[in-house]
Amino acid sequence: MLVIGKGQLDQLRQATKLRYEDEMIVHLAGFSPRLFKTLEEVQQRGVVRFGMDRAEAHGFTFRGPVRLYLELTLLFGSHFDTDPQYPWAGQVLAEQEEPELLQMDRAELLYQKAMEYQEQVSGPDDVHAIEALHNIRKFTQLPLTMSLDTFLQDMVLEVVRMYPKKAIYLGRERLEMVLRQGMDKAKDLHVLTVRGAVLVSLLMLTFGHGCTEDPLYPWIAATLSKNPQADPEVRGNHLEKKVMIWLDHVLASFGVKESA
Amino acid sequence: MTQKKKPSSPATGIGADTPCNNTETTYSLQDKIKIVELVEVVVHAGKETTQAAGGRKQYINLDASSDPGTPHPEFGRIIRLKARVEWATANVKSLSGQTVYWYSEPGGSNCAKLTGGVKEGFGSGGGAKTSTASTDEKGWTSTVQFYLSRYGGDTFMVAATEDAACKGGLKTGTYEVWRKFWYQVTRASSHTVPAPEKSVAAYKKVYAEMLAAAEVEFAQKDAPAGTFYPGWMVAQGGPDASESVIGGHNWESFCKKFKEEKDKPVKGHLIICQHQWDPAGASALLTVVLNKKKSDELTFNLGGAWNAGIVKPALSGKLVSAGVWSGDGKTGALSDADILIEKGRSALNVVKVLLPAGTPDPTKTPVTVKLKLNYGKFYAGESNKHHMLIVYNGAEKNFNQMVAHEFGHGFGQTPRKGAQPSPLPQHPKQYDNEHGGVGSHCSTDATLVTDPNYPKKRYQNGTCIMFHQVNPSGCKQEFCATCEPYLRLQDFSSLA
Repeated sequence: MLVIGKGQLDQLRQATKLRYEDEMIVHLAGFSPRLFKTLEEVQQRGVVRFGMDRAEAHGFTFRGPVRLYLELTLLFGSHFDTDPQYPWAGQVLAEQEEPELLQMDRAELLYQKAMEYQEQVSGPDDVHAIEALHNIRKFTQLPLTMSLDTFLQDMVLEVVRMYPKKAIYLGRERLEMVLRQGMDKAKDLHVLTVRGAVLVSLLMLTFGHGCTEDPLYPWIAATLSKNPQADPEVRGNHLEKKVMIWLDHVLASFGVKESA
Repeated sequence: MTQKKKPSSPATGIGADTPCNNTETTYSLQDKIKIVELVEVVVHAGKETTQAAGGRKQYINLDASSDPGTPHPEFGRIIRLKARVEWATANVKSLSGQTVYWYSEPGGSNCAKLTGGVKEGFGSGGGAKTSTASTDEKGWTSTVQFYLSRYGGDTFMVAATEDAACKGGLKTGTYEVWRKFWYQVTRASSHTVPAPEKSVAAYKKVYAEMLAAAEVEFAQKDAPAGTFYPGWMVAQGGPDASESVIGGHNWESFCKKFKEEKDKPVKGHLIICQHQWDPAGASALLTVVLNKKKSDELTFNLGGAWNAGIVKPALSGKLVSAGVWSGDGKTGALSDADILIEKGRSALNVVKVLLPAGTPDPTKTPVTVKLKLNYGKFYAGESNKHHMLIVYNGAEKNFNQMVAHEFGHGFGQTPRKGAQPSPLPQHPKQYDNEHGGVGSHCSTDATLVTDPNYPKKRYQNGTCIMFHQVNPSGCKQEFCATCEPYLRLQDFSSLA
């Protein structure tokens, strides 16, 4: 009889997990080609590993639930599990008293919630999301009339105007929570001007509240890590240019050409 | 937030409820699928049909929408495919939600230097190397789009497999990247023109098919003024018969003879003439004293150009730009009727003057004549977008080089610095007017020689089709090795 030692079994498990990583890299490239194409292969693997680790932390270890978790990562950002924009995700993922029994059920519930969100907020064929991206792009090009003192109340109104479906879905309290996070993050990142706070908040609303550390969007962290001691206004302008490039890329992914 | 598919239900797919690192069987044999069919999808007039994915020449420069009446799956860079799966063993479960993996196998001789949008890929030019598609309850995947590269001669097979490592599965036949274009010959009915076989062969070598469309003929009686001259008037030693002369003065009339054809969306117009002459302005003023009524040959300075001559009637307008005679205290004007061009003249820039009635008798009183004549310059061919004016006078080698050359210009050859298709480097043999010709050309095998008209020296004896001068003895009647990759990567979707 051939005996397989524990070490050998661990190696086998590791190899199988790696194979699943490969499978997911291929799968996600098909799920969101435009987004995944912007990443180097090593970055793609980083996204998959980050997502698999987070999924495991929430008790998702089966192939179907992990695949769903990774797909939601691409839809809502790598930190969607803690994002106040997706409270249902955190709630479903926290319910793991009996993980072996409930994993598939929890995953199915997560799937249903995600589909509901997509239908209500993004709309059929992402029609509301595309409209919101247009509005955000136009808004970022306009001179700002708000100040840091009135940032929260003014930005709430702007989000209501730019992405009404999302504003309604979140409600004022959650929306303010996201915007406050944006302002705090802008301060942490040394871009605390009105424009800096607006940009960081919009990035969070668009790409998830963890976008500044998200392996899916390495350009954000890379942009913000440059010249950390530079004037916040200069850093904000640099970030704005990158945001505009990315928004154009995103709109192009929907087959929309935006004129300057 | 970028365009994405909808998330998958966690219950779908092989082994969905088994651990990612299961070392035993990730999924039971009963749940294994196999690919049983791989077909090409043809979408036409809103309807979708399928056909065998057997591979073929794919004409990537053509757009199927240009010919809406006929399906053209062989047009464009996209190959649309779908596959069908079955359970590997008897199983009654729905086939919905199974994942099929797609990959491509490039040919061994494909261009390895391509980057960006000109490279092959799933979903877009330069897109992902692999793709996935989910199956419906009958086991059919959604349609997958594979973009061939843009490099003529590249070949690809596409495969669908159940193996996430993208191995094995069913494969299509070989799709080879080609381009196709047509040419319409417009010529005088009296002017027999051969098929440009060497041009066709030159384009075939760079993976482009050059096909003949229906010819258009025109008769002398229907041609605009200035189209037919006796052969001897436009060429030294030419025949008495009328020969076609086309150039700036009548070119537009012939351009209008081009026939648009929906099923030939990239078509060049070869306007074939026996001589290409363009009006070139007025000669230098000639002052001469005549002592007989009909002068001897008078030689005019036509700007020092070797390729200039005087014809009657002028190509356009009047022949006499300025002309007066004076003698015995009298003066008078000279007109076109007073200019004689006789067969056998010693050069194309000489004419005779027959003094008009009313002039003094030059044998008794010398008559001074001051004269400027409008003249033309002759060339070997030129192009303007899809219209190409080509001279054919019986020299087939010249004819073939000119046809291939002018189409080459139409397809962006020889690319100037920065105009070459990415990622190719600057064309190392490209040169401009300063070394000869008009436009951008290729200097392969050419040598620079001293020429007073070219301070930076002139290229001589180039062997590439894109050399600036017809070179019947030296031209190899093909695009040189330097030009070849530029042609193979060039977008042939229009003649610009």
